[in-house]
Amino acid sequence: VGDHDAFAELVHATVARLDTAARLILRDPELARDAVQDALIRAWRDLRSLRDPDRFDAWVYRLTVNACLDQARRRRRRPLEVEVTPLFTPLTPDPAIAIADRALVDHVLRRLDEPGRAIVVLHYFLGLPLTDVAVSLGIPIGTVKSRLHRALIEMRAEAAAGVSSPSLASGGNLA
Amino acid sequence: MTGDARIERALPRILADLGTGPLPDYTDSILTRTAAMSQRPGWTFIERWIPMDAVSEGKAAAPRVPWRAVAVVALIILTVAIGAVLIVGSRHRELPPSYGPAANGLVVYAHGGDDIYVGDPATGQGRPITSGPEVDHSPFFSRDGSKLMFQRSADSGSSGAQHLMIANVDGSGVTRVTDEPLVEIGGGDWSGDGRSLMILSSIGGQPTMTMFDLEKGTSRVLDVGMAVESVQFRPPDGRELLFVGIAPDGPHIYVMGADGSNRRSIVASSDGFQGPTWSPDGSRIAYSQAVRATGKAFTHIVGVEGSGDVVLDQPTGAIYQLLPVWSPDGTSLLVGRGYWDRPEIAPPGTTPEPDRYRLAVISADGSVPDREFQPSGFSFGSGWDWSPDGTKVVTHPTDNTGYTVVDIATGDEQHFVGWFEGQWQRVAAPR
Repeated sequence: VGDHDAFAELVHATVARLDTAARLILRDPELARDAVQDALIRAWRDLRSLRDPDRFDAWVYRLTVNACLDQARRRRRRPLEVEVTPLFTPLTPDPAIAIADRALVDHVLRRLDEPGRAIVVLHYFLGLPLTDVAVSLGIPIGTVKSRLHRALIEMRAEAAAGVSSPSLASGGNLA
Repeated sequence: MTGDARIERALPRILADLGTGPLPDYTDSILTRTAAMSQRPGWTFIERWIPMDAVSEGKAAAPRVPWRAVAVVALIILTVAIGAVLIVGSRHRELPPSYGPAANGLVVYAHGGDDIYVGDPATGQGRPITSGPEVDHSPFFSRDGSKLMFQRSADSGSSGAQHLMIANVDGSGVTRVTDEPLVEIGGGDWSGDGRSLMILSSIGGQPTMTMFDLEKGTSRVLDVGMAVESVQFRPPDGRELLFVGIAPDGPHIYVMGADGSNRRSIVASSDGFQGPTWSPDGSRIAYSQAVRATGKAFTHIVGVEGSGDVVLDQPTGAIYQLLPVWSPDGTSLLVGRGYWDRPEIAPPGTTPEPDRYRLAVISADGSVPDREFQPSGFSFGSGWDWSPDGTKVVTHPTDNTGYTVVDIATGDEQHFVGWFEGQWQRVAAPR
């Protein structure tokens, strides 16, 4: 710990995953890029606080989520200075994922605010247990569970109601 | 497998698919910057002076507990608590009815991440019910408002397993209900007499009901051979249960004896249900159901044997209204309502609503016009409940900055500190 080459290895191993998580939370590739850079620079600066190298991933996930929430707060404070980037599309979308399912999740994800998205992303994308999500976000585990539950309920309701219409699959604005 | 489960299982892949962009091209830039940047010296981190786990995992991995000292302190606290209970108990606190209108007591919330508090919305003052290294969460008042059930993370929370705990509302009498921790607790209910808890948790990978008899200290699994999504005791005596079961032909709302006998399907729908709940008198059931043909989700009220299923009106632009909560007097429902917010998906003739989420109070018989509220920061991620006297609703903004009490008559909002995740205590009306 503390060696820059080792840090570079860790960065190369995690940056794509962090970038994806930040994109999902912020729904804006430029802000996501800023958040990941902030998080990794902070990770380097504070690396000596990390005693257990095995905890690097969880630690840097937390730093990234916090950097995302900081970016979101700044965006709210300066709404006119931010250029809203069109929703990106994956370069190679997974053909096994139904377009309707993808559109549905995209739709519901955009409806959530950043903390709500952070919960979904930390748990379902980064695979953190709910207790770690709660610790990462500094909120009670009950709140994490209830918010996740409600996000899933909304997803179910909209899936059942067929909200994921073709018009949604074509993209759309930021909620 | 239901469509719901299919999407949930596919979520990690869908999220990865949605979030994937070009490979980050800024990695070298970061590393160039960090290579030129000095690190904070190790001695400046508090983590270097106390065990790292205590910081990196919050209270999840606190230092080894000196159990002997804790036992002595606990004994002293227990003695003091028993004395206090005897003194207070001698005053014989009057309890409210288990269902129907009651006076407003305290609001239960979480504060500081790991502890449960109760607060008085009349004064804004709060106090802890639990404290210490344990991770306590998801509090729920008994129907008569005298006790709290909550969850306590087992084995430092690393496994996600939870113990069920109960305590008196003054924080005394904290008791563990479960011998073995439960996994993936998915809700539950107190019986009206406060003697039983019905809890949903994963058993063998399937959400299953377990009844805990708090007087006898026993538990009994009620396996109905299918996954169960929500469960509630029927008012007033709890002899029957209301639950959503995922049968081979799709989700059903079932009513069944609390002993597992006489199960009957009340409503079935391949599209599923949200939040079926008994009216306070136990004669009706409110639930939400999506209708694929209309692209909307509606709130229904149905008789206890499936008779007279009524769909409640909702505004034209509303896409859904979900998770109904009966008012204490059974005349109204509190629902979360969502509107179409984008022109491209809004039906013809409707006006998209940019701020799409509302709390709505709707009359159960349609006799009174709807009332809509939009408390600060309200979203579908918020929870909501009635005050026991039916004059207010409590909710919380999704940025977790506190909880909000809204006066239904005036729309006035009061804001308080704390994460609302429980409900409002019922107390006896003053004589």
